[in-house]
Amino acid sequence: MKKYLIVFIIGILLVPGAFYLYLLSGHAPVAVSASPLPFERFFARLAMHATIARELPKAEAGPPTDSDLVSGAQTYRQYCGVCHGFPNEQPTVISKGMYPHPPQFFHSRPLDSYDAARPYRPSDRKVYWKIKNGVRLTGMPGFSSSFSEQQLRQVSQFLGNARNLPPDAVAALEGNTRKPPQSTTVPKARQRPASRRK
Amino acid sequence: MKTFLIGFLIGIVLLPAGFIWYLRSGNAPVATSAPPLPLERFLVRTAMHATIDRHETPIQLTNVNQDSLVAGAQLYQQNCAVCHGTPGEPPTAIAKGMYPRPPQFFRPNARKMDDPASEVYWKVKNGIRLTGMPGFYASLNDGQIRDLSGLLVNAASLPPAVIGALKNAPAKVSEPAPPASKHAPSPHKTT
Repeated sequence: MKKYLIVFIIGILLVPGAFYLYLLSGHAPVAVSASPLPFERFFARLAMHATIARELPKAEAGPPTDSDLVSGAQTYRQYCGVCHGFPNEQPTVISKGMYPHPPQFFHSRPLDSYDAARPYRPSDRKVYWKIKNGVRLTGMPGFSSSFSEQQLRQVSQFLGNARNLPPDAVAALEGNTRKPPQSTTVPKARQRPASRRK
Repeated sequence: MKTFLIGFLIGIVLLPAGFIWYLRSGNAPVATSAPPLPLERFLVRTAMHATIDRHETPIQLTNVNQDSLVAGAQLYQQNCAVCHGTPGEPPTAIAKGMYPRPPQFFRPNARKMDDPASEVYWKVKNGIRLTGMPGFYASLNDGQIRDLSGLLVNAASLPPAVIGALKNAPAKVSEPAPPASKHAPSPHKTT
């Protein structure tokens, strides 16, 4: 019985101990270009989806108005585009260098044309959760302390309708002062959220 | 011998299984404001420093002068300031929302930038996964990464012209700037 307990404890300690030694060895992936640990993505996704599912807001924000989409586009331009990209533009240097890579919502493609007859989609509650709370260990910030409830909702509505944006929202997304497209080797200019107030 | 093995195996499996169960439960910290897991910071720092120590190549920052600092400042403005801040400005909404928080290099009572040059260089070049810190190895050339490193190790004692460049890139357009990247306009508003 005693022997049993001892090996049991050794067994328990073995995995964390080996893991710690591995980290100490200097072989752990730290550079963004290093390959992920085995099961890293699996564990990360498991935890993320389970937690979000548990904390999902009960009510879904309804479909947006045009002005919601315009406001959402403005906020997106200032705070999100630096990592999540713009239509017709290559991913920024910052987003290309991150691990995990921030999803590119516009895929550097032109926007789909606007169909006024198509009703807007309501915002996705998971998207709302992510904007509000962020996702730790990814670089995704939580904006709960910086955005109003309304801004959070508008950005999530904007993203839910990114494939069917009215012209005003497109103009807001692109800004009035368009930068010329830039080569990928030159550091980008537009990468900084313009506004520091708040 | 058989008890031995069984006890051993159960022991090995128990912890990972418990960990998976914990993740599945939806209680794992995912929001950026959630408190870290026990030992998280300790383990992560251990790994980061061990890996950087092992891989970094010692570099000497020679020729750090006003020009290189201004060049570094412009690069910083375009690629780093959004998360790491500029002198006299509060942290951005992006910086405030991230976990881990990006260090603010120009806050008055910020953590001293006391990393050795080789480590700064390594981090700018390779990035740090799972933090949001990008690696710029594919986007900036070696000279640019050196200019940035030179700026950062001297962050506490920069001449006024460099501070000016950090705060306001557009003002520098007229100069024949080094690895120039056009103007660095923040498109609208501000000030």
